[in-house]
Amino acid sequence: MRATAALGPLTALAGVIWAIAQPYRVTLLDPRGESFWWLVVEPPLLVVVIGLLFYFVVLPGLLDDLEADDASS
Amino acid sequence: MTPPPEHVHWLFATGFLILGLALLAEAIVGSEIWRKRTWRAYLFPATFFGLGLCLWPVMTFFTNSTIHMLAHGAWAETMMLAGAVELALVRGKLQNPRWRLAMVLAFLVGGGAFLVHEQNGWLFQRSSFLHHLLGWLLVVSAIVPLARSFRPRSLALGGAFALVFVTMAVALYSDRDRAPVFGHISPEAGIPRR
Repeated sequence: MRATAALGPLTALAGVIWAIAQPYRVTLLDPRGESFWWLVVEPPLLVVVIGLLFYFVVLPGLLDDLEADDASS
Repeated sequence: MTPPPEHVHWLFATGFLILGLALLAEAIVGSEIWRKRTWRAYLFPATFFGLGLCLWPVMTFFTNSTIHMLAHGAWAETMMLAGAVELALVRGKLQNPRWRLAMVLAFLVGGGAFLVHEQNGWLFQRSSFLHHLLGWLLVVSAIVPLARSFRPRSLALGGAFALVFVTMAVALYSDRDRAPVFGHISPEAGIPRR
């Protein structure tokens, strides 16, 4: 259960570390003069968003199902 | 309004990261628990099918050469086929687990597509290196979905299958249109970006 719960936060953490290591890949930090695609597609932020989505959207239901399965067995 | 190629790679990397996380979670908790909610069961096949669908605009708008068009087109077809087969397996429309061999076809055609549409050598620049790496990764790791079609409940194979997608995501996120690889870039590649 812990391993599943850690997937989202670890992914988001990887994105944050990437953003700190390569801040020039986060164009929102200095958006002046950047074109549409450079502002929309920012890889470190995408990784953070996917990690958070997994944590807040996928994990709660998955943990509920795991607990229900544990209780029934 | 067409995005630069590196942005397309990053968007696909995001799709593969979603696939990798979903498959990792399924490998950890087991398919029975993962498929208790219908939307979770459909997450991998639908996303895989959707990524195949997204390869059609890539084929249309990034036609640098005939080989690019053929590679992206063949890849789109086999990804959509494998995604549709996985959907049918989850839905129960298909029963025989050997249908999972469609994923082996998608891996082999995808790997071949990466390899044939990269015209430059490994160290020409970073994107060349990554295309070779991703191509061989897919060709070699086709053994994983092959083994999985015979042992669909194996935890190790499920984990390995997930890690292939996570590795693909990392490689695609590393892509740049003009950047050195291991400090090497061909003078013909142009001025490297940071």
